[in-house]
Amino acid sequence: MSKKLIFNPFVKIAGLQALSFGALFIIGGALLAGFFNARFDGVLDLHFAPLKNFNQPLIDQILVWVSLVIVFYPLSLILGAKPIFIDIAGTFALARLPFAFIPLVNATGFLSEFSEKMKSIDMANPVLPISGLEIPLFIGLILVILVFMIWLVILYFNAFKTSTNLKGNRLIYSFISGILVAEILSIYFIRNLFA
Amino acid sequence: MSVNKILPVTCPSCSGRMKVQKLHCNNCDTSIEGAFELPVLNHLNAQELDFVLQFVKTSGSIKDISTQLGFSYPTVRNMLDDLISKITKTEKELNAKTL
Repeated sequence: MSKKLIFNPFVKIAGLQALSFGALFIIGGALLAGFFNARFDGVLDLHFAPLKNFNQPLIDQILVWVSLVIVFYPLSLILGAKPIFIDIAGTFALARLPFAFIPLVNATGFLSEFSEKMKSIDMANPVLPISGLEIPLFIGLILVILVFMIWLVILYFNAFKTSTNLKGNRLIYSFISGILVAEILSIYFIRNLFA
Repeated sequence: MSVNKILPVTCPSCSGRMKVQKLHCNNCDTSIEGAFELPVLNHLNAQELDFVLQFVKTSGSIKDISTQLGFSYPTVRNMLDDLISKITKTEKELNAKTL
C-alpha cells in the first residue's frame, strides 16, 4: 500500500465497501480492546484501564461512529455538498482504522497498570508508585499512541473531504466544528447510553 | 518519424489564453487569418480530456469509470464536479470576452 493510500484510502475505497472493511476493523479493534483493556470513549479519546465489561469497547466504537455520521452527514447537507449517505457512513467507519491497532500498545498491560497506579496516589501524601524505567517506557508508548491519533485525524479529514468535495476554508472550518460537535455528542452517548 | 504534437492552449510567456490566428486547407492551399477562440474542451489538460473521453465512452456512468480507473465512486464524482466547475468558469470567461 502506497504512503498516500495509508492516509487517504478513500481514493480507492468508499461507500459500502468502506463500510464493510470499516465494520471489520471496528469489531476487530473492539475485540483487541476487550483483551487489552482499552476504551475508545470519544471521537478522539482513548483510555487504558481494567474493563468492567468486555463488550464496552464495541459499544464505544459503535456510538462514536454513529456520532460522526449524525454530525457530518447533516453538516455536509447544510454546506450544500450533496453527499451520499453511504459514503459518509462508510468512509468514517474505515477512518476508525487506527483503533484496530492501538489496543496492541497495551498488550503487556503496562499502560492500564500504570493508569491504576497513578489513580492510587494519595494526594495527602503524594509518593509516585513507579520505578525509574517506567517513565521513559510510558513516554515512548504515549508517543506511539500520538502517531496513531494523528493518523486517525488525517483519516477523518480525508473521509470528510472525499465524501463532500469541499475545499479551502469551508472544508477546514466545517471539519474542525464537526469533530468538536461529534466529540461532545459521542461522550454524551457513551456516558448516558449503555454506560 | 511522426511527432504527436500537443496543442498549446496557454501562452508559454505570460500564461494567457492562446487563440488560433491562422487556419490552412492542405487540399487547396487556402489560408484564413483572424483571432479564433479555441473550443472550451481544448482548454482542458490531457488528463482532463482523457477523463471526458472515458465519461462519454461509458455513457456517463461514474460507476463504470471508477471500475476502469480503480478509483472510488466519490473520487470520480469529485473529479467530474471539479471538471464541471472548470468548464463553467472557462465558458464564462470566453463569453465575457466575446461580449
